Amino acid sequence: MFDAAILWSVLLLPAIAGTTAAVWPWRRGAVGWMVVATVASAAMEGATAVAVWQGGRSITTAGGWLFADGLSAFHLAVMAIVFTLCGLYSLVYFSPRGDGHPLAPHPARRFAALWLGAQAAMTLLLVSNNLGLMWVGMESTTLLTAFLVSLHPTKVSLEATWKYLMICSVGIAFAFMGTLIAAAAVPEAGRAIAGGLLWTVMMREASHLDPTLMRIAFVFLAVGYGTKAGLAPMHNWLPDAHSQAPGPVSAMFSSFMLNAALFCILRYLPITRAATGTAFASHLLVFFGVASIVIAAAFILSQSDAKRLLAYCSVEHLGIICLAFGLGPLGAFAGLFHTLNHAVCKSLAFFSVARLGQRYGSHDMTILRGALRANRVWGIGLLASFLALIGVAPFAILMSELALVRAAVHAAAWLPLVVFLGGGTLIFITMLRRAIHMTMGAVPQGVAIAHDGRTASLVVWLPILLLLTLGLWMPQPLRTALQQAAAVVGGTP
Amino acid sequence: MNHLLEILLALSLVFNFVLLGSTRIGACVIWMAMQGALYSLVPLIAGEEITPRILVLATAALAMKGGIFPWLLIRLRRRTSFHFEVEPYIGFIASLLVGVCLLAAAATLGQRIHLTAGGYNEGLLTTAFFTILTGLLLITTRRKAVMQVVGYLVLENGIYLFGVGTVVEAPMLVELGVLLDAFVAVFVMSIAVYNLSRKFEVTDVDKLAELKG
Repeated sequence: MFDAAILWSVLLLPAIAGTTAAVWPWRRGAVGWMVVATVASAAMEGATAVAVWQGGRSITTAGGWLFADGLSAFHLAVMAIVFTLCGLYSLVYFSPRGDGHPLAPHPARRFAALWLGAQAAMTLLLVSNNLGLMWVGMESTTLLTAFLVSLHPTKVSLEATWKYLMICSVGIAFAFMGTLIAAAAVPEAGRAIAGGLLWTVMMREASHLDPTLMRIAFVFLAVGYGTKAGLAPMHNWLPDAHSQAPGPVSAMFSSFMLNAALFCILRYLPITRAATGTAFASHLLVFFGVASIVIAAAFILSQSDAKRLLAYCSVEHLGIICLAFGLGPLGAFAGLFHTLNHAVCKSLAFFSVARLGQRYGSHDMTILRGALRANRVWGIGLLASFLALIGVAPFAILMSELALVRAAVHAAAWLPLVVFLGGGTLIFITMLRRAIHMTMGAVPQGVAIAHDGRTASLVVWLPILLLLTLGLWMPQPLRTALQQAAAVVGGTP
Repeated sequence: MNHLLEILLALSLVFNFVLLGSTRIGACVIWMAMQGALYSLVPLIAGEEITPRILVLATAALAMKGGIFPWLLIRLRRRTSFHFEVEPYIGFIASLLVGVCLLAAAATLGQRIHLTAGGYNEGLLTTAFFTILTGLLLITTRRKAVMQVVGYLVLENGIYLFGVGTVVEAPMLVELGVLLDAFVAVFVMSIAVYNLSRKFEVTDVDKLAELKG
């Protein structure tokens, strides 16, 4: 009864709020409604995660179709943090005061409805035990967020929307092929129970699955969901969509949507590992991880647009996370920890760059100078997030990257380790230089020096404090939560 | 394998080649729709008995693939494009030749993959793979945005056939969800194409090349 109540409400709250936003009858207040509903839904997501951690077991309802285990709980918690921050930031970004980009009544309604809809779709994929339903959730995410990219319709933003739609739709179609092949890998005898493509059943029957089919299925799934996760070489849509979308949307894409796609691959990882009895799946993840790091490093070197730079930085970090998951149990722990750190840090980075972009009227890094003087709060946000992203002590990203190095050494994966350290060094130097250029020095002429209100300070200092705290000390509950989630990925929940 | 299914599959192979060789967008939409309609009938022909579940799914698929999708696309083409030509990056003869190679690849794949599922056959898998590859070819080599949507739907047709051939019992809710997703995808893509053409007079995807690097 408790399970049913909590799972249904976490799913239905954003869905109902989104529908309400779509038919919002007043001229004003749609964005305000979206913020309230997003934060409320995030609280619900947090409560679900806590319920799983407290009970120490997975909670299930709807005939086993909906469930939340350690892995879903961890991702729900990350999602709650990201959506709360992004929701609050929307108040600043779309503020009619200062140089915000206020939304007209109709686009505001559309933004609120699509945003909450996307939140509902992501919750669905996190709590579905049915792998088909999980696919439906992922596909819906693409469709709902497509027009968030071109919220301010310009030719380039529509170009980005089009690429996003086409590339991700084809990618997700491949993931569907993979889902079908995985379903066909269930032996005839197991069909009756596994007919519903239930993850829990497939996990139990994993050793009886057809190894060849499961191997083919995993390739399709990794390529398909990997497209949505922005892994190289399927990442082409990502820099365009991230650079054209409004600030809160870019932040949400980068900090959580990509991880949601990776979550879908993680669901199949233990099944494939058990079915094939080899490290094939892990090797594939290592390959995608290494490719993403290399390509991201190459593009970051020659980047002049700050938002595109951050987009490629996301390709790098998703590559790091993917690589970590390919490195066994230690790696899974590092990858999950890195997921949390990257989500918090990348939100802050996109917030700062997008807000400063509004002030400077451009994201070009030759124009974006002297941010610390032009707007102290966002300047601090920019500097801190860039430093954290490249792994400067004592921010938490350094800790998760060290954990990754340990996992790589433990797994004797020398080549990926060299690529990771080499790519990381290149990106470190480039991004450090960019961060110094953007924040120090004089403000260009024509840019007013101004200050944002309390909300702005809150969404800047909260992530910074979180990153500092996690960098210095890992609380026991978090460690337990990470271990629970890593155990699911490792196949021993 | 019954004869009706054989004829149906052979017919759809021909449709793929016609799609690759057609010069008019309108004609491509019609062929795509006819192929989709044929595929939605496959579960009725291939299964041993017709259950209400199969009947509902086949009807839904037929209505979507044979009715709503082409209607949306024809309407879209009428509203957006003054040109009716497909305008490929590679010529029609070349498209057909690549098509032949893709068919060979699909046949090899169809023979290689051994599905443990009952009720499948090689011909069905080959046709499904060939349709998927045709869809990908259309997406990558056609200049008009509308044609990319047609390509996407051909790809979806192929995946649908593959699903019918392999998975015996996917739950109905999931299958309907998949159909609904395809519908929303076409709908969203249509709005994007419409905005591009109305506001910026762009119907060719190669004009969408400002974002680079």
